[in-house]
Amino acid sequence: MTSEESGSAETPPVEPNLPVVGPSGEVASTPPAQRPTEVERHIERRERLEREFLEVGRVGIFYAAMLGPILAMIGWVYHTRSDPWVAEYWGGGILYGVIAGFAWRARAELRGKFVWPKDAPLRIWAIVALTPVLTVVGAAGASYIWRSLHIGPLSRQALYSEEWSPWFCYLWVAVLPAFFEETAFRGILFEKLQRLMSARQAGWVTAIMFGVLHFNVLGLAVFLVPLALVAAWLTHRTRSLWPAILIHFMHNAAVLTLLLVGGFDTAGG
Amino acid sequence: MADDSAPVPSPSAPSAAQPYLTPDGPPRRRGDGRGYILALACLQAVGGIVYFAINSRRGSQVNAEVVLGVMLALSAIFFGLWIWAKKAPFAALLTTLIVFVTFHLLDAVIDPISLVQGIVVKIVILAGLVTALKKAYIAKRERELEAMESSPPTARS
Repeated sequence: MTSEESGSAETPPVEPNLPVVGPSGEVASTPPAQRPTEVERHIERRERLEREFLEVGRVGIFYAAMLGPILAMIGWVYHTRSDPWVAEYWGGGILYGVIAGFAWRARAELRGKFVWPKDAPLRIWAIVALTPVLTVVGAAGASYIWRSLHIGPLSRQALYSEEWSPWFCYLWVAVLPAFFEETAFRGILFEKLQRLMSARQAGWVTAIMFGVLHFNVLGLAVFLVPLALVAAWLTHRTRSLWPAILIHFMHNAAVLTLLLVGGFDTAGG
Repeated sequence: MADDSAPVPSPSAPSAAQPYLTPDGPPRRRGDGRGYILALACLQAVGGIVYFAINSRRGSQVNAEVVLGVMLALSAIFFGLWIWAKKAPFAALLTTLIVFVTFHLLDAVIDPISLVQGIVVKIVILAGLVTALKKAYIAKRERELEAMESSPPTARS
């Protein structure tokens, strides 16, 4: 039975592009909104996805901005045979400046990340305490295997020359990298990537980026990627950067201490 | 008037609306970029072995061993990413692109001539990875949006 037969034919169907007349005869000021066609919806969706994809470009720009000073530092040391520690001083300074600039741009998103996780369960703090121990053991084990293979010198002992005070070394190698690198990788990149993929995938991608940027193939697999994965998990669980900063600081400080006392000769951080 | 002599397309012929169908039913995943990742893994492994074979005879074996180790490690990373790309193509392609560009730029910083060596292959792989990355992202998001639209409003909230 059609609508006309059932008696509802008193309300004629509204034709598109005609003004709508109300029950008392007034004419609506705006025409009724038309439903988009299938093609229009498809185009709209495609345009939206293209706009979303621009976020990948922003991730790439940030990564390239961090990569630049590191590559310049490596190239300078390689071609001029300069003191690697001086290069690390300047390269690190430029890198932290770049990260600070991007962090300033993303300050609204980062503000909530610098809150101490008061409600974090004991399990989280146990992981924070245990992770640097495991990564340092991994680093020492890798160093031992590397030396026992007699492949070649990978020593970074020269980095920590006697001209620099140990406190300055701790500031430049343990405190600042922990703060700036965690802000960059877990604060900015991890958040940006979480808009594009799941948290687990974003954790893996930032962990590999973190490992690759250290240019230490051995360390990448042994302790850099595991450290970054745990840092990403802690940031995701606590919604705070402090646990990740803490494990990064403890790892770097332990590695630096071992280097200063001559404990082992391959390290990252 | 319809031309009777025109060949009638078979029901399994591909069209824009319906891609190639495999005998099992689901369409084949073409151009998903996994091939580029596998090619990179193979090229790194073969390149490392060839470099080692050439340079170990010249007496600089220590350096050749380090290069071989690094290239095999990179090959292993790309192989792992190739496996991961089956499950998460977008994330794996993004990681591959980052690792590929980073290590080639490092190579260029150490030895600027190396940037132009095999430039065609590098450009082909780079362009392929970028195209596949965009395709993977759009395919992933379209699947997500379709799933969201087809789910009942209560489930969405």
